Amino acid sequence: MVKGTTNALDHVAPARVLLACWLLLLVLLLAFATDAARWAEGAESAMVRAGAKPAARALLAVSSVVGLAEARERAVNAVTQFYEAQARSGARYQALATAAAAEPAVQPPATPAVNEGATDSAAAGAVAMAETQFRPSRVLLIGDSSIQAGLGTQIERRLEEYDGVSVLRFGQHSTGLARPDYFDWWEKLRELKQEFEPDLVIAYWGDNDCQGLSTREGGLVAQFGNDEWDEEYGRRVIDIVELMREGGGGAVIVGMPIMRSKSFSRRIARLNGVAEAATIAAGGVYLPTWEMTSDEEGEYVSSVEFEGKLRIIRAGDGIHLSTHGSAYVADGICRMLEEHFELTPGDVEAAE
Amino acid sequence: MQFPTLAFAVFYAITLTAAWASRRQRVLRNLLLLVASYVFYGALSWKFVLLLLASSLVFYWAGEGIAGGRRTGVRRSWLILSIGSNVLLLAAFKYFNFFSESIADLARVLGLGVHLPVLEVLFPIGISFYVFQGISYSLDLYWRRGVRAGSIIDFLLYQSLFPQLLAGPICRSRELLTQIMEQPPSRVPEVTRAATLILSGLFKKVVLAHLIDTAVVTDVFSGPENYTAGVLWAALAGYTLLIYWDFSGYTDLARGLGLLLGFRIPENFDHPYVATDISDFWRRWHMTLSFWLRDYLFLPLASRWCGGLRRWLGRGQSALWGSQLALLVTFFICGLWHGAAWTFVLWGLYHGALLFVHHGLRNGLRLKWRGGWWGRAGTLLLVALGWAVFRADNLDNAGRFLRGLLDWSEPQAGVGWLVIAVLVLGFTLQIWGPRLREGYMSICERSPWALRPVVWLATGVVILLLKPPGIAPYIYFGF
Repeated sequence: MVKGTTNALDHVAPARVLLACWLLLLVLLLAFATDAARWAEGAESAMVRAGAKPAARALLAVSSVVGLAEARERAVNAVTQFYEAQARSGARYQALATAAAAEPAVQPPATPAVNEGATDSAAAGAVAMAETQFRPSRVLLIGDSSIQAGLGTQIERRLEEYDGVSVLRFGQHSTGLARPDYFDWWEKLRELKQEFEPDLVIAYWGDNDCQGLSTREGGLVAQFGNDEWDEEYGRRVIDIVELMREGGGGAVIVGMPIMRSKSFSRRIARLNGVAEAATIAAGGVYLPTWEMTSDEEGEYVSSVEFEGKLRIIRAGDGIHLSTHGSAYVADGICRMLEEHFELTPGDVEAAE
Repeated sequence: MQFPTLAFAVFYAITLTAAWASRRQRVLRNLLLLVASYVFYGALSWKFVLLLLASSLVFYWAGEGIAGGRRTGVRRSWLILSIGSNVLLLAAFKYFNFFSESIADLARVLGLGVHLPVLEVLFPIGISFYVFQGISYSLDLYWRRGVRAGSIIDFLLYQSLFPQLLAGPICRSRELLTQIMEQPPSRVPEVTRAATLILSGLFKKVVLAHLIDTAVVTDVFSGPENYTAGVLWAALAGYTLLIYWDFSGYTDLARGLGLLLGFRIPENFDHPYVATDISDFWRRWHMTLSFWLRDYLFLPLASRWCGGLRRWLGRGQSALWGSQLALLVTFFICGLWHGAAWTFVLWGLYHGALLFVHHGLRNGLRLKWRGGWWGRAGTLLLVALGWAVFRADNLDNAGRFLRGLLDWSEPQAGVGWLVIAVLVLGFTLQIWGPRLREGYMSICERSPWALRPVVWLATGVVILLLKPPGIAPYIYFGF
């Protein structure tokens, strides 16, 4: 079963192999010096940070001189743009672009303009949102890998069962608001809004945001777990909710569920708290999923009674939702959406 | 710590250095590799390490009992302890909640109120692989055709060698344990082949598999009712290639990394999508699992049942029906091994049924499946349809997907030229891939040694540049 030539000439002295290996590693580290520096800055252990930061700084300095990291970033950006352009020719985009062109968007009632004093006008906006329950017809659903599949599919399916609602879903693996240098959600949101013209945007992030916050250029702004982080993350949530509401649309941020790991749960709870306050301040709607994934004592549960059956709602890692879990949480989210927006269940028989 | 990450590259460079620096002292080298393997596994969770250690210790001590026992009864007792305890471990971590939920559903259908407990467990990646590997060790010792571990360190390393720990290949004792117990080579074997395997694995996983997954597979399989038949067929073709690239890419990486450490890890795939019939497919797909199932499940069951049925059916018929029944049971287990969900079980039974029919036609009615390119195309279609069930989130989605494949009533949407190009490239590489790889290796081997790392670096740069953003997890880590 073991194939392969036994070319005696290709049996090499270990010293040569190790030298080649370390040289290749050095080139990799120089090319990825920015990532290495970010990892060193954000490492949880103080001891690791103390050791890694000087090495990472040295790598960054050498890489800047050689221009390797910069060249890699430029090349990666070009390739990313190419892939995103190709994604637009995919079936989902085609179908929805056709639908969007055929039907004019239903304009929701006007909400108060958002001034530079974000808090005051946002508070007024929040009141306006609560008072003028409008009927959304084009819903943009965005977020991380949970929206790319699983939860996103279930939410989309349920939303499309409402009368007159069409949905565009876009999820991107391993993303959030923490790393705009890796994936810029602000830019993506602008693109999607221009293309689809939604009147309601629903977003789900957080899984990947319990880490240091970076600028678009890759510099570290704040480490997770301190007041600076809370302030900066809150600002980002306000910013993006305002962008979601730009043009008079509605904005919904869905909170993260409880996690099995208590330490991760504490981090998520902190993030949820910041996100909730910022969302409301910016005039958006915040929908929590924490309570529906925990018991009466606020402890993590992996199974619930759903649709008359006992269902496992969490995946084996205690982080992601299972298929049943996605359906269960999507159900809960849609019921909460009905409290804030005019969503009429469609005629299922007529639809079929 | 996943393979295609900077953290792993640093870890591997350190481990490679330590392994070759200590190559003249076999025990020290094995100890260093063992520590490295446990550090690698522990990066996922320290609890996984405890589980691996416990499982390995049971297999080792039971193996000593089997090898050292004189009476059959004693040897059999050790064998039952070894296999029974580890299968229970596997069942508890992987299948308890699945069976709990299924029994509760069945009880509800029957009008019985049953509330079974649910285990709050973290799924230990790789458990299916190392438990099966350990079972092969125990059975080979029992049947006196295996290799007994020279020391506990050797055995622990055999069970945990990090290149093949998380997703195989499943190595027999005479394949890997013998290499661990031998004096390490003085020179690194087949460096160019190792580098080619690593680059091939990276290309398959970080470029091809990730690209097709994000472009068409994930979205479509999550909501098949949203897509037209043409797109569903493209997604089916995409997943057919994705699962091959993902798993064979991991195997290539495992083999290349193992080769640089001085270990020859067996091949797991032999261009499965050019198989001429379904039996040929299973001689080419996940070969180490396929042969494991044949040697440790199918053959023992078939010989027992053939003998058992002889009383009623006569010699010829008992051989046919005994082996057919053993085939169905084997593939039921194969499906279940892949995951705790009815989609996997159904997929396993589907392949069992295909083999049942194929063997029945061939051995019973003396009819032959058409070979050549028609045979290959037919086999590929049957295999691909099975993947639709395998990949589906649940049985409802599987049904929706399969029904959607036949619904051409709506105006068709496109998938983009890039997806089409990747699909065409993927199926072409099934035929031309080996020649391309050998050609690349041949060019490297003819080049001066100083130039080869430059060629490998340039190839690596191209691969990393073509990579779509993000790191998608390995599919087989979930099995």
